[in-house]
Amino acid sequence: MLSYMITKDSHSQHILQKLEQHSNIGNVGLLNGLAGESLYYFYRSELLDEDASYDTAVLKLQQVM
Amino acid sequence: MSSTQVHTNFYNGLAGIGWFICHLNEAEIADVDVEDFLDTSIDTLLYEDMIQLLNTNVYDFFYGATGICFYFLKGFITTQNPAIKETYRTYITHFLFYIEYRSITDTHGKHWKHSGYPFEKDHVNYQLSSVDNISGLMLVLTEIAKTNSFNTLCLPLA
Repeated sequence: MLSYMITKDSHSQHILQKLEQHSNIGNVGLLNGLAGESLYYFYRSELLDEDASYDTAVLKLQQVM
Repeated sequence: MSSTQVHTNFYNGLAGIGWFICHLNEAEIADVDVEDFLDTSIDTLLYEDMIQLLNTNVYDFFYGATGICFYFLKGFITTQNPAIKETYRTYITHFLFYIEYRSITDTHGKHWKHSGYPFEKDHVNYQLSSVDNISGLMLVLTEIAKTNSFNTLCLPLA
C-alpha cells in the first residue's frame, strides 16, 4: 500500500510539473487551456483535500473570466 | 474578449467554458454566478453559430454544433431561471429539428454525413469518431433523451 501511495504521489507530482511546463496563458479553453486546468485543480482539491490546489483553481478560473 | 475571432466551440471556446462554469455549480465545487458570467448575448451568439454550423454539416462535438448544444443542455439542466430554461429548451429543440432534417435514412438506419477533407473525392463523408461526428452526436442525443424533456423530438431519431 505504501509503495502504491509513493508511486501515486510521484505520478501526481509528475503531472503537476508537466502542467506547469505546458501551461499556456494564451489558451483559455476547456480542452486546451486554462478552463481545463482550473477544473483539474478543483477536482484535485476536492479529492486530495489540498488547499493549494483550490487556490490555483480559483486563480485560473479568474484568468478565464 | 479582445480577439477579433471569438471561438464558440467546445474544445477551446465559449461552449466548453460555459459547460465548465455550469458544471462547477452543479457539482457544488464552486459558486459562480453563471448568468453574470454568461449573459444572454453570449447564448445568442452561440445559438447563431450552432445553426450556421448545422447548415454546413459541421456536427462535431469538439468543433461543431453538437458541442455547443451540449453546453445548452448543461444550462437547461442546471439553471434555476425559468425564462433562461425556456430559451435553452428552444435552442435544443431547434438542434433536434435540424439534426432530424439533415439526417439520411437508408436500409442501415439513420446517419449523418460530415464535411469532407480536401483530399477526399466526395465533398462529404462519414466520420465515426467521437471528435468528428457520429459518436459525439450519439452521446449528446442520449444525454438529451435522458432528461425526458424532449421525448417527442427524440423519438424520430431513435
